[in-house]
Amino acid sequence: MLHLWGEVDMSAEPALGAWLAATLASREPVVVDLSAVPFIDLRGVRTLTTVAAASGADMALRGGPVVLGLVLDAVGDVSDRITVEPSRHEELR
Amino acid sequence: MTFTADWTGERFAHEAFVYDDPEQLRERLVPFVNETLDAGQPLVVVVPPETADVLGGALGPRVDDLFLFEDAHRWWRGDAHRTLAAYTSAMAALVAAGRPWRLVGEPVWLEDEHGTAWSRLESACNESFADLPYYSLCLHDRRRFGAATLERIERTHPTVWSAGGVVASDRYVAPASYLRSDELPWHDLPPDASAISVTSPRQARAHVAATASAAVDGVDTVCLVASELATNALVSAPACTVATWRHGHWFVLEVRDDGPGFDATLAGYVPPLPSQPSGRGLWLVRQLVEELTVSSGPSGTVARAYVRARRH
Repeated sequence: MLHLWGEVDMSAEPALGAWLAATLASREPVVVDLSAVPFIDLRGVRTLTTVAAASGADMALRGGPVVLGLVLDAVGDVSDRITVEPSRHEELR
Repeated sequence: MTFTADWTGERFAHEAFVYDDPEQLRERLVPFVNETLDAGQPLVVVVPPETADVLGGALGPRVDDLFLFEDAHRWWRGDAHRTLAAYTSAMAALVAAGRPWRLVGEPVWLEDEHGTAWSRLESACNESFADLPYYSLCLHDRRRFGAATLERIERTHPTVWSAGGVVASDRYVAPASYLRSDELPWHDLPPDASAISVTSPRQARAHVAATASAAVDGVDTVCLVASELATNALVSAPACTVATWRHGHWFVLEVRDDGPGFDATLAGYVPPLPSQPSGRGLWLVRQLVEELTVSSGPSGTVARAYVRARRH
């Protein structure tokens, strides 16, 4: 499992993309824990989906801020390789 | 005999047909569909059950040859942008193949509260889809719609079916004019606006979080909007100004930069195609706010997002 911390926006994306690409080179399925990410923008989500698509690795997103769902909805057409695990809040309902 | 005038299958064609009764519908729809299938062109059909019955009865087993056959009532996502995104997604393979295809769509949602937003997207399509080999026949049952909606249909479709042929719509207006005429008018920045200069999206989010929390529900959404607009601005300029204020029942968020600007004619009205590397930010913002106006030129760009404010 990969853990991300902090806000993901244009200042973090180049480093995040390079790091993810190197980490996902093995093509093995990966869980990305976003529960310590208070904010992620469109570019951040695109970085995740683009790297997953390019590496051929299946990626599950766990946790994450409220805006993650808004951004994923808007991105549309997210690769089949990306799954979003239900938040704890949804599991409890 | 051709039922699509002189369409050569190279560029986007966008026709509105307003029918009065099922017989008129059949006379236009069935030849169009047969012509499409005879040509071996993929056909997407999104219509309500009454129209599906007319089509199914006439096509018989050929109905299996349709690329997609969906109920328009279920197709509507309750929101114009999501609905257009659903079309774009469903047709992604056709766009990628680059061969001529057609759509029969019947937007039964034009009287919905988001119907005017849909009409803006119909207008924008005339420019954003211009180079696609795509014929869109938009059906409209006159009995469903009021005069204002019927006028919108004629203003957003360059051609209409009339008296047995495809003719230019007299009331058609270019997308730039249509969109600007339907958007909120610009007003002066009020002296009590809360404005700061920022050099990172994070600063923009912090400023908006501080000023929006008392004014709107869904501060997270407004912060995301501020962040996306600031990101766009900071790609083209080292700093930008973020301002917020109340205007009537709106909470307004403005991001202004003095970068080189861009062609904002269709800003955010275009669904992102997979091949487009940019342009998604404004598309996202339009889905998150009630209204967005963008003005851009060589001396800079101003974007204003409008969210409903809580009552005082």
